[in-house]
Amino acid sequence: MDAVDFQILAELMVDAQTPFSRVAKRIGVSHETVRKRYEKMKNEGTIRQCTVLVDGHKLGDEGTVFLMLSCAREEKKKEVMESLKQIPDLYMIIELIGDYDFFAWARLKNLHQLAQLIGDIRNLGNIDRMETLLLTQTYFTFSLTPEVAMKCNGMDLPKRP
Amino acid sequence: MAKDISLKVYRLRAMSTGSQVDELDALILSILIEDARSSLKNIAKKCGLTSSAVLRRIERLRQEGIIVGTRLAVDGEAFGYPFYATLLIDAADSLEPQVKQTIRAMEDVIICAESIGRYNLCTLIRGRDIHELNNVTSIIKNIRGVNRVAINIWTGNVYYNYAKTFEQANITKADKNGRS
Repeated sequence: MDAVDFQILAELMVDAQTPFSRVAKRIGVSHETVRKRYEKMKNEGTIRQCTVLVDGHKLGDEGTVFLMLSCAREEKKKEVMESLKQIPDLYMIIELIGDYDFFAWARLKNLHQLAQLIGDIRNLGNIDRMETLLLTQTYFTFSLTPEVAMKCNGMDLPKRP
Repeated sequence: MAKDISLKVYRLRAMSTGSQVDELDALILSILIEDARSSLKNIAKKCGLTSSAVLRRIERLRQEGIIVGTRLAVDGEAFGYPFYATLLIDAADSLEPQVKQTIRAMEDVIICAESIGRYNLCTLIRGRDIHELNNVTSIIKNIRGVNRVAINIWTGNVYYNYAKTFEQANITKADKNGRS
């Protein structure tokens, strides 16, 4: 990671779809350099995800569910993670250290779907505690560093000043 | 039976918000969710449409507010922020708005969202080191109205599945009788 990499990331964090040629012009390197470095950062995992944000409300979603799960036995954690990955409505699963072992995000479409989802997770076994948090937001933006991305909480999206 | 009812609710909801998403839109969405930088040419090939038709559809999805923006998720470690934690906060109901405002104004807070459940605020925080996470947590604990804070630190083990949850089958349920 050098200054050019940071600049490329900073441009793309405002709008991930900015054409490479525009990024190149703005930071004063060649188009090819931007492309190569982008590919490299993607392959190395520095760029984890490049995605469009979808307003779930427009597709009929009610919001988002945050699930906090606690595993009954330490040695079953891997197994539980693998089974959680198979549940289609969960879109992010994070392993935790603390009161709970997993933090999962899911779409909240309606109460019927929520009941189904919770039932599916309970059926996996090995989970002894579950906390369900219902949120009205359907999409989230992240800002990783104060210097690079604008601060965004909840619904606010980054905007070019 | 229950499934039928939920399908109906979906259709009604799609109608009430005025947005219509057909199978091709859903396919385009899932491709873009997987990679926002997919070229029009590539999307067109996968959908069996022309590039200009794809562009028109994407523009419409943006206009209708179905696509609200893009996100480049970067590994925090590259920026010197390797630590993340989920804080579950139980705040007194009467002071919740103030608590939320105070927390949102803090620099290392990524998300602070209201939730329904045992905890009424769910917050994601970041830190350069474990001390910083601890500092943020203790500041939050000291806000007037906060009764209890549960901290859960993220391990590096994160699994993204965003694209799969928006696959065709999941979206088109909303609109079985969509535009042809």
